[in-house]
Amino acid sequence: MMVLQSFIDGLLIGGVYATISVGLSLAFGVMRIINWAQGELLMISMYIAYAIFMALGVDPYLVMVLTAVIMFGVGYLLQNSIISNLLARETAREPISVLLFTSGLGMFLSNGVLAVIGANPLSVITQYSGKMIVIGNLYFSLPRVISFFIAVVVTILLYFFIQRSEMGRAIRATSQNRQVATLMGINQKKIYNIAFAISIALVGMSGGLLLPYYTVSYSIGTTFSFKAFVVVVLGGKGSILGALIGGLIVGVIERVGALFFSETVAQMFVFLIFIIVLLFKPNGLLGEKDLQ
Amino acid sequence: MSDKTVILECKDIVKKFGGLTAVNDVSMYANKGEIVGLIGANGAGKTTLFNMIAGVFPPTSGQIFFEGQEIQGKKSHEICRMGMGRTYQIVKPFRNLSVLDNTVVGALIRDSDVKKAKKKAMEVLSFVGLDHRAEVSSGNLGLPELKRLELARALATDPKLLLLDEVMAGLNPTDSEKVIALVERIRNELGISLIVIEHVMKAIMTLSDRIYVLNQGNLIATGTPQEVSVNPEVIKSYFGEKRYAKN
Amino acid sequence: MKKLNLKSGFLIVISVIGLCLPLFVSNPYTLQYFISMLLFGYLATSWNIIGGYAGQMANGNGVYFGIGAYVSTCLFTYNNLSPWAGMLIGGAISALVALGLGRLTFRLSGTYFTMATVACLHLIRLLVMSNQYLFGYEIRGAQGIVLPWKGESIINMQFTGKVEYYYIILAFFVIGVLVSYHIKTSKDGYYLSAINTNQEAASSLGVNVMHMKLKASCISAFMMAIGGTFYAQLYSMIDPSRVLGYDLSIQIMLYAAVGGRGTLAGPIIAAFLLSPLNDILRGTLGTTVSGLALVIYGLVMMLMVYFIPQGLWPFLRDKLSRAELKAQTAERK
Repeated sequence: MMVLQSFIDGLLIGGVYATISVGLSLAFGVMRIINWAQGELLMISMYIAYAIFMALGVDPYLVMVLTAVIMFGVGYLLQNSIISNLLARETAREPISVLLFTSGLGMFLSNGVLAVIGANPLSVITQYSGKMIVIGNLYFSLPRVISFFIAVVVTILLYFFIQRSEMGRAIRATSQNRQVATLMGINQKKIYNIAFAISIALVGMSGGLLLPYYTVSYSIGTTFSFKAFVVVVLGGKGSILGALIGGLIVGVIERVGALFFSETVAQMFVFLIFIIVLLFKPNGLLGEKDLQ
Repeated sequence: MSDKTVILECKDIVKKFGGLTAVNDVSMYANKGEIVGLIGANGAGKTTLFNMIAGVFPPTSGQIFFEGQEIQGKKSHEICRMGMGRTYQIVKPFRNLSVLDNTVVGALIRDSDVKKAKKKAMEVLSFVGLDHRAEVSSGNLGLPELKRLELARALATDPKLLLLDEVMAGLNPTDSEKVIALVERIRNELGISLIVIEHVMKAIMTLSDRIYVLNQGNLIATGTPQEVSVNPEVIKSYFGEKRYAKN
Repeated sequence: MKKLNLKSGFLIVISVIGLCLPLFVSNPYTLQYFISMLLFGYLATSWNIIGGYAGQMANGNGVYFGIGAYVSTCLFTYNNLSPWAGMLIGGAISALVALGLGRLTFRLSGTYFTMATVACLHLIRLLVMSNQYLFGYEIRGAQGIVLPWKGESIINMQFTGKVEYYYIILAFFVIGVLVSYHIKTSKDGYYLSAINTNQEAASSLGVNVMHMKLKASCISAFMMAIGGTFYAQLYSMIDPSRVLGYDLSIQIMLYAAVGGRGTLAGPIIAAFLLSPLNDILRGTLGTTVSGLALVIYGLVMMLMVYFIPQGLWPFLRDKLSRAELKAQTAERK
């Protein structure tokens, strides 16, 4: 019974890992860039969500929507005014300047929060806090369950958006071949702006989803970045469904591993999975297929 | 074939990418001192064949012999060390290095001493006529010079066999003439055998001793330039297409 | 010839200053600034071998620094082994880890290598943080290890003053720079910069790409580990958040990137200019505003990448040679 409880707890947190990683994977698949500040932007999102919640006192899931919208704007601006210029001068397939820039950004954000807000962790109490769903002998915290469903639904919606919509078609075309896509009349910069903005909006959303039950502090960014990398490699870069499955797997390994051994050993299992995937299935479980 | 020795031989080479057969059961050879032409329309499998010979990826099946030794599955750098050089259709200079240093990278395989490698590289550069540009950054070269640099780098590795992938593509007739002359000098003065992929028909006809014609991964004809040029299947599949395209 | 004399003259002046500095700087706190300048100059030089020359972005390269610090410290504390021997063992272990990570990831695209180094850093930090004992050594988890005082001696690498530490790190620094210079100007340097620009072309010219990347990665890891041992001896204490922190890794990479990746002097110049900032801010503000130096570093990194992507040293060198050219043409007129 404990195992089942841990397994489902893992799935619940894994859903949120998935949304964070889907954003990372999308930007990697389309733009060939890895945003090294993904975890720090998540941390900022949580602070933004915290501020909105404290100021307006509205429902935390409305706060989540607002945070996602704000982060969409942040992502759009970041890509449109800075990253696009970095990309324009690089010929390399995986641009190093973006890596350096986002690494600097991550360092700036985490230590900026430390300097301004301090090291004290923050958390909120919402109307959902402490509520449980009881099924037989299993107990599930309500905010986790809600987060999970929102995360999974949004990820699947995004998948269909990329597969079916006109914009999604353009995004896929650009990820396959920039030149050809440009010849087809697709505005590459616009596509990049939107893909990156979606990526950061997903991070914003995840921040909103985590806030009701996760304590935020300046240093949580790197942990989440690390998990997001593992998920992206596990799922296959650029793969949305892969990131979803990868996120769930990482969540489950973490929880079930923690039950039998310890949190740390569980983290080591996650790392081990990372190594095994690199060894035997470097394209990930689903490869790049569903984006292409 | 009596007094000639074979330097390269491909036996029943097949390459499949997923479900697509890029090269289908191709056998060919090149003798020492020969210039062999490899022609065919786009997508005929010429560059794929080159990549297998040069060790970029292994063939799905078949054997490749270089100077009698089996080399399929060996890595690029090992094959280069054995004495095979190549150039790329799309030039790949080391843009952060000078023309000389680009060539030095090639020369270092035979002599680890940088000074000696530099001397060797200078000789090669003057052979291809780039010595006056030695200190220029390769990022600042135009296409004709970049093509020469590709040649110089490959020559600096002291190859016995050189694979040239469209060294004339994108050049104007004057520059092409110069490259043709250079290729002939590579064979005549340096004694290097060559396999040449070329789209410029006139060039390949004047240069080659023998020609192989590929079409959609299949070898459809082989022989001297004259023999190939009157082969009905070649005319249909290749020259026909060309003529059609011109009109 | 004139230029060469200028260069060697400059080097002689710098060497004399470097050697005689402790004669003029008696205040140990001030000397500390110079020690960390040299340490970070050394670390940035080490990073530059894999990140600059070979162009493989080892974001988590600080993991080797941490391994070096922990290995020699454990051996010194519990086995009484001299840090001089311990640093070699730490270096060898680091090089082995680098070899493993490289084997695994170098055949994939560069991003995987970067991710793997970062993942490895996090893993080892977690491992150290949450264990009181590791491989039979008491490492005390997040608390860290305080090195026991075993008496002032060269063998123990323990001194009451700072001067000895200064000379040790000066020696490491000089050796590091010489190693870097040797790599850059030898066959390896040519091969690495070829790999950095175009792996496929490098391979077709006889460069064993995998072998070269592994070599660069191992050398870099070994050198980083030695820096870790020095750090442990200097401060007499280590803990995972310091020696295995992600910020430390990024900081080292930042010096190299800001100064000019792949150049010999760039990483050193940037480390010399930027690392005192950390100490000065900490000295003046204390812990009231922690993290401020890193905020500034992050900002500097972003601005530099955006405005001077090639790095400070190539930028200045370019300006200088242009000014020289101008002066020459003016002279001729």
